[in-house]
Amino acid sequence: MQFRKELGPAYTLCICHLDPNEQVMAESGAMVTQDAHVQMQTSATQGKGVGGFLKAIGRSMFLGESFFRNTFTAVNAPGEVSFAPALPGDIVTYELVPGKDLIIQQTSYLASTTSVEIQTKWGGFKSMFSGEGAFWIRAYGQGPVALTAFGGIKEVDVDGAFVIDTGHIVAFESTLSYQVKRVGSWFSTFFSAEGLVCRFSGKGKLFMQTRNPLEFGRNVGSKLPPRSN
Amino acid sequence: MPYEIKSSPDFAIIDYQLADGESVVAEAGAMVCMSPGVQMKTEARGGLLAAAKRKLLGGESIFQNTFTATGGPGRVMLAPGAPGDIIAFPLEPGRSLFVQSSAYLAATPDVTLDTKWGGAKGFFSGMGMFLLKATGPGTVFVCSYGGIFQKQCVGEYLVDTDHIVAFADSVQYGITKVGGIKSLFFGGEGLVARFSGQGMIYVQTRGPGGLASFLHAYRPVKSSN
Repeated sequence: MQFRKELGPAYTLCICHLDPNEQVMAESGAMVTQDAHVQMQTSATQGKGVGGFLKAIGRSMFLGESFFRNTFTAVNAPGEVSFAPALPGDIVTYELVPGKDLIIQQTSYLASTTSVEIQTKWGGFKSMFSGEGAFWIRAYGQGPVALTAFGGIKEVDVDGAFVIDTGHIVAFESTLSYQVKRVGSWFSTFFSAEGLVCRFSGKGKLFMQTRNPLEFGRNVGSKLPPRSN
Repeated sequence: MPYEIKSSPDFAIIDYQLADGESVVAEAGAMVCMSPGVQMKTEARGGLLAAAKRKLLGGESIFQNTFTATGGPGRVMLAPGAPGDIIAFPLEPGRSLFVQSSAYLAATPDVTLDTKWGGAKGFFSGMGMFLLKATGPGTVFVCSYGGIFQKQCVGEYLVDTDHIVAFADSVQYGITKVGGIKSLFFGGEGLVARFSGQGMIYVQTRGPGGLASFLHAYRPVKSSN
């Protein structure tokens, strides 16, 4: 299985090539095109069977999260599927190796090979107030994962310490430890518009996005006519 | 080639070099800049009734502007309103390109435009009930929000209905669903167009709906009174 990207950087498309009977898993709603012989199957992310299915419905209803993912199989012949996120931005592929996990901001997950396990984690109350979704995805195993960003993607090799606005994090390697904190004094927290930051330490790769979707939403959304609810 | 598509794929623009007396026809509002010798004429092509039908059914503007170079060669630059890509599709005489409403940008003067009933299936799939049909000879320019992915269809190919920009008349299409019943409700993919035959299919890498629904959440809430 191979990911290739086309037409970037503002509206990049991720094209996945599958060998016969190979599979790729993707976020629900991400598929743009596919060969007709490629078969899609929808499954709940909360485990197999009826229990997992009901749990997934519950979580997607109450937490507004997408707890379903689609698996595409190239039945008996090589096949192609393409994926894109809803918002403008670039795509990057990360190759997972056993022993080093990748922590992904949940809206940045696009697709992955089936030898990669995807686990959704509750990021704690701090992340809820940080402007990002309260969920993080832990990806582990072996093979490529496709990530999306709002805006362009920059790769940072952290060695020591690195401070980043929480709204700009795409993903980071689990060799990094992090703390969510305020910048400056309480006064700054309220008036600097910087909100919360993530302070990373250790050695590892970090992917950041050049724009913060929350800032964009506030910026443009406030100029739109009011909605009734 | 009298034209060049620049700044593709994110913010594409057509730079059209016109020979003396040569014309290009564009959607209302598409002109960005032009040399002073270029004359603009606004008209409802094919008559007001035909234009009104295209406006009503195909989503095209009633009036179109024809830019003609006079007194020597000229230049006109054309761009759509939304960020995204532009492609040029050359049409043999009698051959057509089907264009999703709002994706038509410009054409050479001999290209004729009509609307084609896409079938009730289009209505339920979000694809629109009518498609614009551009018939050659000439070149038609098509734009989209997002990049335009070009796919040469051989056999069968599926495209999410929200992402179709245009397709050649040599391919046939139908609406189908992907996966099982569970996928229809929870897979988030909805309905797809199934293309068959041989020919070009143009796909936009983002749908404007994705951006719109993201921004909807940030709209101010109307105070109840």
